[in-house]
Amino acid sequence: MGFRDVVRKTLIDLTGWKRTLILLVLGLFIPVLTSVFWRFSLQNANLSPDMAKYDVLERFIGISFIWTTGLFLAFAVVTSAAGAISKESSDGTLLTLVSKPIARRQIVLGKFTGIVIHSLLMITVILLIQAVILWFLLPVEAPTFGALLLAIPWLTLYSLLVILVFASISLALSSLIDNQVVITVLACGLIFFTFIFGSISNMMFMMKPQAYEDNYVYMIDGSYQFGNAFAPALEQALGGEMLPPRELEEITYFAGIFKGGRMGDVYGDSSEYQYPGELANYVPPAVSAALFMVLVAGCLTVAVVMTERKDVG
Amino acid sequence: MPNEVMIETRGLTKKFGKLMAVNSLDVKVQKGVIHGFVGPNGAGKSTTIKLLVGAIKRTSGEAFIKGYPIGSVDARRAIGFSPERPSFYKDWTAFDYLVHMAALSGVKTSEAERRTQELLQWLDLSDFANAKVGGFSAGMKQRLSIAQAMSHKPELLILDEPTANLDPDGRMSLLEKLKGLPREQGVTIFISSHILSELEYLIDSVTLINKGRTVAEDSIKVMKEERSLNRYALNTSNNEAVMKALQGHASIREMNLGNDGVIHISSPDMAQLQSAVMAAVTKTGSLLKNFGEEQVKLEDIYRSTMDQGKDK
Repeated sequence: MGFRDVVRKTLIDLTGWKRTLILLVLGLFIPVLTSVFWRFSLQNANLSPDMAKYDVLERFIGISFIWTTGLFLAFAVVTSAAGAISKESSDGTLLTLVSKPIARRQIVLGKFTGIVIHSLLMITVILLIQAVILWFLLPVEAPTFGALLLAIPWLTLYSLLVILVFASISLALSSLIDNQVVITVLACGLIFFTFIFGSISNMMFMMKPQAYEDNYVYMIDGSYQFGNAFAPALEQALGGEMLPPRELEEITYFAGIFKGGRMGDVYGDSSEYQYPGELANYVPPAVSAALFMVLVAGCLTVAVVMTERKDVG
Repeated sequence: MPNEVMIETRGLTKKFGKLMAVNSLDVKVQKGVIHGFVGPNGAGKSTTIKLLVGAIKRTSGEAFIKGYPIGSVDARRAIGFSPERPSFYKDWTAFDYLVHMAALSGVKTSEAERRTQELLQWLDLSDFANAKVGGFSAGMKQRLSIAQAMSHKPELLILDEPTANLDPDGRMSLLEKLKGLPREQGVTIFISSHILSELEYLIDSVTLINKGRTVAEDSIKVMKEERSLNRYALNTSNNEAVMKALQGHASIREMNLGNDGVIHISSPDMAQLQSAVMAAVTKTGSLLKNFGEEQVKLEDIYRSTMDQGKDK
C-alpha cells in the first residue's frame, strides 16, 4: 500500500506541466534542428524511395541514440532522481514520511519505480513526437513513417537501460549527499564521462589500439558498454538488418564500439574511404546489459542501506 | 507484544559524535493518558521524540512503543507524529496531502478521504481543503500537521510543540480538542511544550528531562501532592510583622517570604500552625487575606527540579 503511494506521489511530482514542457522542448530541440538541416541535404540527394527511407531511419536512430535516449534522457533522469531523497530531507518532509508505517526501502524503491515509469513514458512520447516531426519536416513517404514507428519500441527498450542506470546512480548519490546541486553536478559529470568516453578513448588509444583491449579498458568504458548493449536494439530497430559498417560507425561513433585506429579514415578523403575499424565485440551485448544490471542493483542497495541508516531531522 | 504501557525507554542513549544528546533516558508512559515531556532548550526532547518515531537511530539502550521496538513498522503504525517545524508538499492541496498521508499509513483511499473530511472539519480547516498548502499561515500549517498525524487514527499521538504557531484562540481551541481525545478515542498523547501553563491544563503525567536524562517522572497529581505536603501559603496585610510573630514557633520547620509576596511555611502539624497563625495575626493587628495548603504549579515543579539539577 505504502509503496504504491510513494510511486504515485513521485509520478505526480514529476508530471508538473512546467517541468513536462521544459523536458519536451529540450528533448525535441536537437532533433528538430537537425531535421531542418537534413531536409536540405535530402532534397538535393535524389535518393530512391528505399534509400530515402533507409537514410531517414538511420538519422532517426542516430540522433535518438546520441541525444534523445542518450545525453538528454540521462540528464532528465538525473534531474528527476537527484532530489528524490535529498530534497525531501532538505525540505523537512522526510521526517514526517519516515514516521509513517512504511519501510524505508519501500520509500527508496517506490521513488525509483516512479522515476523509471515517468522517464519511460516521457521518452516514448518524445520519440513519437520526434518521428512525427521527421515525417513532417523531411520529404518522406508514409512507409518511412511506419518504419520510424516500428523502431520506437526498440529504442524505448534501450532507453529503459539508460533510465535504470542513471536513476539508480542518482538515487544512490541522493541517499549519500543532502545537497541536490552537488548530486546533479556529480551525476552530470558522470554522464559526460560516460557518453564522451568513447570519443576520448578513440583518441587516447588511436596509436596503440591494442592497449585498450589488452588492459580491458572497455570493461569500465561506459560508452562502449552502452553502445554494445544498444547494438541488438539498433539491429532490430533497423528491421533486423545491420547497417553497412560505415553508417553503423557514424551512428555509434560516440559509443566507442569500434576498435580504435580509424580516426584518420573517418576524417580523410571519403572517396578513398575504406572501412578500417572492426566492430569491437569484446563482450557479448547481453554481458554489457548484465553488467549494467549489476551496477543498478549495487546502486539501489547503496540507496536502500544508506536511507535505512540515515538520521532524519 | 501489546501491553498497557504505551511508551517505555530503558537507558535510551543517542550520541552525535561527541555530543551526548540523550543520556540513558528512562521514560514510561501509560496507555490512555496525556503525558507531558518538559525540559529546557537542548535538554534532548526533540532528539528523544525523533528516536521514538524512528527518524533517528539509537546509540544504545532500548525503547518500545506498545511493546514494539522503536523504529519498527509495528511501532510506527501506532504513532501519529507532528514535528516541531512541520513541512509539507507546498504544491499539494490540504485534502490531497492528508489523503496521501493516510494512504501511506495503510488506510484505504475511500476511508482516507472520509477521515480527511472529518479531520479538516475538526481542526477548522474545511474551508481550505482545496487550497495549496504553500499558502497556509504558520498556524494553519500547525493544525494541518496535527491532522496528518491523526489521519490513520493512531493509538499514540506524539506532538512536538503543537501550539507553537497558534494564536491564543487557536491555542485554546486545540487544547480543548486534545484534552478530549483520550476519553473519546482512547488515544495516548505524548506532548512536548515550553508553555507550562498549557501543559498543566492538559496533562495527566509528566517527564522532566535535563541534559538528556530523566530528572523527574510521575503523575502530575502525585508530583503536586508531594510538593504541597506540609507546605502552606500565608498572606496577610502585614506579612513582615506576622513572620516576626511566628518566628521560632515549635510547629514551624521553615518559613520564608517569597518573591510572590506570600509567606511560605513548612510545618508537620496543620492544627498547631493554624493556632499560631491566628495568634500572630491577632497580635499584630493584621488582616488575614489567605491561608491554606500551598498550590503547586507545574512551573514550580519544573523550577525546583531544574534547580536541584543545577545544584548537582
